[in-house]
Amino acid sequence: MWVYVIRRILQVIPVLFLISLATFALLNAMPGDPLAELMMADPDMSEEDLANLRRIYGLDQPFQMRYLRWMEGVIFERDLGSSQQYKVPVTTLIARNVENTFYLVFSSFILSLFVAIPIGIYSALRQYSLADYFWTGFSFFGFSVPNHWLGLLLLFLFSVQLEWTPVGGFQSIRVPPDFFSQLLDRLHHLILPMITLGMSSLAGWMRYMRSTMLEVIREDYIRTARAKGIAERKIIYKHALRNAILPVITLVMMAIPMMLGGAVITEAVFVYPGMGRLFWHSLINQDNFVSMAIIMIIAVLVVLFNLLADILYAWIDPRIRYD
Amino acid sequence: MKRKLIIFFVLTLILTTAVATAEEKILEIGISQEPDGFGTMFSMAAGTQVENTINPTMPMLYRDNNWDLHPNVTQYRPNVQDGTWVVDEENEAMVVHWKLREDITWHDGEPFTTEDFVIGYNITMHDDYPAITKTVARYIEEIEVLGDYEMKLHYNQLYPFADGQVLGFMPMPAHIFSEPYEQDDIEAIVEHNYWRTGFFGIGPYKLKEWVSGSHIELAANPDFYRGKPIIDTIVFRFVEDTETLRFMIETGEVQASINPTLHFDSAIALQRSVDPEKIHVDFIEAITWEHIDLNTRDFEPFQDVRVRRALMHATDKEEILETVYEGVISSSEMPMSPRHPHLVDDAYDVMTVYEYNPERAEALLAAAGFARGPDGIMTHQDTGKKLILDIRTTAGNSSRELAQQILAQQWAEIGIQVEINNMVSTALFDHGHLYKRAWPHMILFAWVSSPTSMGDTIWHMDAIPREENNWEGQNVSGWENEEASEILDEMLQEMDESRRQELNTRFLQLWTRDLPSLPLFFNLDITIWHNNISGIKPTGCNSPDTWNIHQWDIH
Repeated sequence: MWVYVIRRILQVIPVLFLISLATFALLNAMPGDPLAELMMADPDMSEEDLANLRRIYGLDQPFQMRYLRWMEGVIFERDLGSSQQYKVPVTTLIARNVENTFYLVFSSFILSLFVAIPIGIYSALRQYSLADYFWTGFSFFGFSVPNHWLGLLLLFLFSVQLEWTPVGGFQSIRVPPDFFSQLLDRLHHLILPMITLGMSSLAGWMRYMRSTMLEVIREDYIRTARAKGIAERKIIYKHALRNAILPVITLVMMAIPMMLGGAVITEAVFVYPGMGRLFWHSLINQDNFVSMAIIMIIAVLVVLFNLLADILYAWIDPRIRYD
Repeated sequence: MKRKLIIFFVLTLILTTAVATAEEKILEIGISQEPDGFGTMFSMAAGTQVENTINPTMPMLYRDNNWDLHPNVTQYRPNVQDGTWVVDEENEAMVVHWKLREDITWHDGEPFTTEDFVIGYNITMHDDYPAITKTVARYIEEIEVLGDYEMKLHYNQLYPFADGQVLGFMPMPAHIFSEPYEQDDIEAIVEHNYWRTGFFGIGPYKLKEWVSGSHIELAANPDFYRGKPIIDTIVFRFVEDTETLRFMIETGEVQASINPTLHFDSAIALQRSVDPEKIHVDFIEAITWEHIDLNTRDFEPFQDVRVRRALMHATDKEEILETVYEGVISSSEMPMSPRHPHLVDDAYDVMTVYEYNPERAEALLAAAGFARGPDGIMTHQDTGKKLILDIRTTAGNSSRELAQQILAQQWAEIGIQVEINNMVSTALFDHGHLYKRAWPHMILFAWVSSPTSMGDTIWHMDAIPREENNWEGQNVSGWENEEASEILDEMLQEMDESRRQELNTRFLQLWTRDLPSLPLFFNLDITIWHNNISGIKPTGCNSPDTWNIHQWDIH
């Protein structure tokens, strides 16, 4: 297995290199000049000031030189560059935000997983029941509702009208310093963003689980198992679920990097400080080294979770071998 | 007995804590941006508001809500009459003599002296220090230190705001930055934690905590030289989504919001939905000028002033303002805020006003050689070209987009067809688009100015972007008026304010006569507070609204 894993990792290197080149080129091809926009806001800024800032930030250099310099920093100094906006190394900025995004994405992931899989199974086993119709309707709502709108709706209902949850942020300003108070406060702030971010995955997985389960329970081997008199519970959880969940694994594994993308909107609505919001800011301010770093992190995560999905496949399904 | 004593002490402790907690005054202010940092390398409006609370962004003089100037860290405002400001017109040089207050210390206890000014100036002028602007600092030739609290600033040119209205650089704590500066380690200075979570200054509040993406907490500085702050703790919360910010204001999660804050439509919606006895939404005319620039360099019909005037006569600004801004804003006839110190009553007597008059507009177009074609569109009688105009603005700015729609309808009445071609702001303001005039006819946007702006960067003929000057300069409409440019040159070096006002009056006369752009209105600054907060007095300009934050109170 290790040979397989190492081979896959080696294959990834040129892919990541190409992604970095394409991303750098695309970010640099974006229309606009963040420094020139400063002139709109600062009446004292002159053309000389603009030229000076371009020189300091290396923006007067051709694209290929800037890319090579960035690559050199990444490979030889493990330096992802400096934020033009915040004037700090990109790694410092990301380190400041990654923890909060991890909590948000991880909690949404767990919520979606632990709600979607059982409900998907339940709906499949009780196809066309009232509950099945309800969850089908719910999943269509979950699919189609935009994150931004759902976030605002939840805020309006639970924060403004019912006053059950805080309007935004990730912690209260004054909380007792003990662990439990801090934990409860953070969880209280996490409820609405977690539901908002997890909603579309939850709806998708629910539908997917339902359809794969429906497919599997109609297979001959399930019919045979029933004919042999094996307990229904055993048939479902030992034989059917194990086969039905295989395609769901890829979907679930790929959801984490996708959720990072969804976090951009969710974090903005709930004023939740994380990487999504940082990414959004870096894009609108054309802080390209920050955007580059976050895109590369997502690219690495996509590759890693792809690999992890393949390994999990073989673990769950003994028919699969690493050759 | 022992037990009773213990109970007594515990109760006393609880009571004392309760009283102390009850007495602590905490104000949470929502702003729609998080500062990217503090100091001259950063430019966000949010940064200026918060920074001024910690360290004055206008160190020599501060500007109040009436735009009056008062000495800040200095003992007086220099002037030519008493010799504290010496002007050598012959050599085009000046010396400004400053005496600092001697009772000021940095938040870490170090004295605030002329040494801090010298290091601030030296670092700003270093080639590799990325200050947003060094324009005014470049006018300073030398800082002559006469003692810990006395110095002379020598200028290499005449500059009318050298009395401290614009200093051009910020004093920096010498005890922090002298060493890296002497070692020529500018990178260490730029990346120093001082500019972010380690920031301190001499202002009314000390930075206690900066939680990235969430809030900044400030604690009162009891030694503030202009008076001890009344509110103990100020918390600035960063809420970028303006709808969320609105909810926070409504629920009282934040009790005030200052610029940058809600957009106009959210603020109006808030004003309607809340009890005015509870929440006050304040609108004040600011100095951000919304206008339409006309491409007079490349589009031939706009070179004829009659066509430009026709457009203005065909524009019913009151209808636009009533529809888009519910009549809260008043229209503008010129590129200068009515609050600008250079604008005097005489200017209103000499400037040309273009009242809404579609008949007059059609007559002007006819005089310029246009007549309605069979399709109703104005067509030039000689060239046969139709008056179909491209207009662009920032996509997603609903107020501007709505204004555009109304303009299109109004101009259609006089036979001008409008094609709307909006773009995201980065593309619209891209150098290759805005300055190289890749927009064929018209562009709707706003210029930000200040009480010291004289319009030289926007209206001087040398500021017309051309291929010869590498497309640099902000006179994008391409107005070329020799007399106006000479007036601007003279104003830039004129020390006497009343003379500057006279010159400005003539300048506005020329500008409104030539009409290189179509003036629309000045935007509003919005400030919101719960009515139990007192003392908030917004400036309506680029001077921070937090100029008197030490006097704000909660009742």
